[in-house]
Amino acid sequence: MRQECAEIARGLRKHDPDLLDRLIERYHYRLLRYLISLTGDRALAEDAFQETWLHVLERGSQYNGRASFESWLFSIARHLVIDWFRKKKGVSLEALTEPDDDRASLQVPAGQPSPLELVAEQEEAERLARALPSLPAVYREVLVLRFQEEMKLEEIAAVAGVTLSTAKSRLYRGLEALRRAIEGGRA
Amino acid sequence: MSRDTHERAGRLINRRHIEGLSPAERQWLDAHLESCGVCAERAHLTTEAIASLRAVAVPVNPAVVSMAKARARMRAVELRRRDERLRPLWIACVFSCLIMLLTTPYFWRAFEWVGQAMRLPALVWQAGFLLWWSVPATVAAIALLWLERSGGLFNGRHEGAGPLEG
Repeated sequence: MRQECAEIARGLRKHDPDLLDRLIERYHYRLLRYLISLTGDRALAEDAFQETWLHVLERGSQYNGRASFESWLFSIARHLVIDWFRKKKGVSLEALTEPDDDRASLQVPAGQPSPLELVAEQEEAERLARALPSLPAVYREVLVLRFQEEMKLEEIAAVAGVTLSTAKSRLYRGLEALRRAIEGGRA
Repeated sequence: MSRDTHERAGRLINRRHIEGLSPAERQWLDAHLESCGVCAERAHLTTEAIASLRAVAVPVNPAVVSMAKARARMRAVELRRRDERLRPLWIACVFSCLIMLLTTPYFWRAFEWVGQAMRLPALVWQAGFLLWWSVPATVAAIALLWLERSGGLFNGRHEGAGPLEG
């Protein structure tokens, strides 16, 4: 694992195009899924997906190979989305990071199915697809990192740029909110 | 059962999935869930929500992946070219810095000698020395500017200026 990360760091420093190909092939699904959960918008997530890889190339020398590559990758993607919201949409950084304010900026427009709704095939997935976009972005993010990416709490904190206790607190609140939203969808 | 007991169970249900439980806590929770239908339903719902979250599938448009690969490859080639263009400049910089460091005491004395021989005020020959000292940096700056204009050293994007941000 550590050796692999070191190899990635070396390749990124050299701007190795073959390494980039392999990394995109390997992480494209997880990165896109994370970006969709973060933005709640498939088109935006796909744009951010493209840009993330260019940023990975340009900032490759900053990756030291000591931390896991996916944490670093997701962290780059996250910063990109935050910058995008701040600059293009006129939404402040706080609006994206504070649960009370981000609903308006990140929720899927009313009447339109979310990307998750579109892909839901089973009853439970449909229920989840309805519930997930109603959660604040910061909760969606940590839930996805924990339960889809199976990241450790420390890694989640690193990606989200918060302390371990904040990451934990978001996870507890997010899980509670998700359960309530699903429960509400059943009623 | 008291309200505190249910609240504790609620906390442990979530913690089981986030941080894990100690054997004693797990034992207590399992015993509670066996006797409390409301908390058992809550635990079931939480497990179900997590299972659904894990099962979410996101269809990937292969064109998006291909485009990302193509753009990354193109940018990698650009960055490699830039690195190649910069390499001689770096070598020249390091070399000139070394020369400067090694020769400074001698040149200082030489300038002093010339200044005294020509009866120049100390300020003049010292300024001359400083000017000589700044030559490599000036040459490097000119070379960078020239490279940028001729070959587009910093063409395309640079850090923090991607289309999404700009």
